[in-house]
Amino acid sequence: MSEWISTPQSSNVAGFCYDEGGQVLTVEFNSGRRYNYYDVPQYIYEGMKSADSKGKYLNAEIKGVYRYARQ
Amino acid sequence: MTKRVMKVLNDPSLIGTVQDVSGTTITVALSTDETATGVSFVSGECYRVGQVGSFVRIPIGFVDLYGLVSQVGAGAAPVREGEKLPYGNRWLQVQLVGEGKRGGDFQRGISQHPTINDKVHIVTEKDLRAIYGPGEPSDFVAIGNLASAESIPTYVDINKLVTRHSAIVGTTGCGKSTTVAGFLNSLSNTENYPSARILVIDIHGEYAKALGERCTVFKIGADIVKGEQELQIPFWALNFEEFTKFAFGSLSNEKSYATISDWLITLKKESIEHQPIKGVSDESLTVDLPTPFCLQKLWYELYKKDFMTIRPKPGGAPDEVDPAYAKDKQGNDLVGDAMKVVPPVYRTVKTTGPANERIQWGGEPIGIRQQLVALGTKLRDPRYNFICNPGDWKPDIDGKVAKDLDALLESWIGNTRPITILDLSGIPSTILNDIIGAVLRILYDAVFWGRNLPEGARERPLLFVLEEAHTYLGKENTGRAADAVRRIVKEGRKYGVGVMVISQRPSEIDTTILSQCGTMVAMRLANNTDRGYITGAASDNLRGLFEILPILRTGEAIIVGEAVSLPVRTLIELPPPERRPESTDPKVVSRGSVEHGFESPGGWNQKPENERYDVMVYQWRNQTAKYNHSIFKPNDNETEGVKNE
Repeated sequence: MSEWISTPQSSNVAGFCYDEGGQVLTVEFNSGRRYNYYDVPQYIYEGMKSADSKGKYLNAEIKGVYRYARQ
Repeated sequence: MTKRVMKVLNDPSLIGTVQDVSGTTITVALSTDETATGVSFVSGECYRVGQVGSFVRIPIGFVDLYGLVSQVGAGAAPVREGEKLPYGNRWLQVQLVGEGKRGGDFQRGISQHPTINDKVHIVTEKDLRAIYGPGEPSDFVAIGNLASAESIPTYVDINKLVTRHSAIVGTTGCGKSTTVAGFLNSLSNTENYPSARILVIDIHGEYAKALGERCTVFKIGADIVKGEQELQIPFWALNFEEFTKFAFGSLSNEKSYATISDWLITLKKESIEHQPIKGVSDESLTVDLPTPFCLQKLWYELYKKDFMTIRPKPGGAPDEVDPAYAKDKQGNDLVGDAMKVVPPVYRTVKTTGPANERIQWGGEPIGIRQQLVALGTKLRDPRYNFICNPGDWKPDIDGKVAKDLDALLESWIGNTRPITILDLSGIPSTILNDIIGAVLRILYDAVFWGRNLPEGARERPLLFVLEEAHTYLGKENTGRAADAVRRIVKEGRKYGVGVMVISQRPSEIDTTILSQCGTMVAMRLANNTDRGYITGAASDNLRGLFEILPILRTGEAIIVGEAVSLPVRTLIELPPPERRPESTDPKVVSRGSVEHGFESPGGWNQKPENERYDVMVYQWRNQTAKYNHSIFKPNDNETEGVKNE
């Protein structure tokens, strides 16, 4: 499990972290709700880390591709 | 001119004079000089004159009378007043509510009346502090601030709030759950109240997040990682009536009750033989006594009684008979298995052929076949595990249990954390009412009999918080829950058991229960019926205050009754955002844009997901809301396929 990355600069995403073993990307929205995205490959997580706009990246690359469930 | 200046200098808080006194209603003529602008400055603070719901002070000798402005303007004018006035109809109608000795404490009720031309003053912040201040500091807890003067905290008398019962009512979306969370946060403050004892009946599972470390959560399908504990309500803690209602529903004849209770006693005796319980002997044993017995065995024995067929014993005397079991392929008798809830299978009745092959009904059937089949289903249904197979409290075939009820009570109302949440969201709705009734009854019985002990509620009072009460305390609801709550609101006060009823539809709640609630916290209520109900149930003469119920702000409440010295319009102190209950509505449309992302992953305005309804059905069948991805992990090819789409 990677460390928790807070993203105070993002208008929607509060923070995220990644579990390499389980390939689970956990995203917390500013509402305080946490969602798990499953089977997310490492490169997507790296992309999320380097993305300027986390919300845009999430919407473009992750949303609709990987299954999610509310934690 | 000089006179006027002198007056202003003397007392800027003066607003008018008493012109009419009728019972506790007085009519005040505003003085045109000072109040023409509608505002007045006292000690550098600005006050608005003649706000409905604000206070006025009428000094009489050494006593100050206090009243609440209920009406302003033409309607408040005395009936025969026809004279045209330069500034319009400048009248106030005031309801007298109490008095205070100069510099002393405020008291409800008045010992004397004002008379014509007595001076009427604005109530300043200093006066308000005296009115709303805590009498005996340790009795009071601050739960918010006055809506009219936000620097002044609102105090409620915690003794009366808890033991004289209370109700929190308001339409959905008026901040009710958040207010309850705020209340519970104030009441469970471990610094002031390290031994607070609150049990929340939470049928939607909203409060766990809001109360954080202060609460222990019991739920079905507990998440151990989050520190939740599995909710177990052993069936043998129920009394006979509750038990038969749960296990058999309603039975048509008296005889079946007698047979069931005979068997119950037999099995309970068997249990205490194998595992003696202090103070329980064969003689003292009754069907209502909460001692363990094996439910599976009860089912099995009753099943045998009702379904058994018999045949003559081979080679025996003519009156000797054997049960006529059917046989499986290997030729073994299908005797069933009590603990696995496998019923025995009997051969069908056969009245022709040779005498030794005839098969007849055995014994005396009780006539509850349908109920027994239903009970068998319940015993196998994972949704009923919390009651039929309650973990450490599940009796084995001999009626022995790993833990007794003391462990259950200790986990619920022991001293580890001030608040216990029973999250009943996983309980089938058909039995929810009876289960709530049983839980309340069990706890009430326990603290009632322990009333002289330090564990009892007289020494360490117990507050039940009943969320969404209209669903189980309805008027037409004759269920167990309403019975239990009615009993607690009537006699709980003497034993230190209090109830806090929370509802959005007060008009649907049983009248006995609502009228016993000494303190009423009314939030925004638009519905006329509901409002009438609250106005009627409140034990105060200040009905006028309730006229503003439809226009209260979110998070604003009017508190009336025993826990407050005066009806008070207050802004409840909100818990920080991360400690608010999870009752916010799902977003139909998620805010945001493709450019900047959205505030949540779902919503009608977002691109669709690759939906999988097999997962949904799986969770439905397993009665779990927790997604287990390992079961539904697609193989690698599939993942690629999805990605390429």
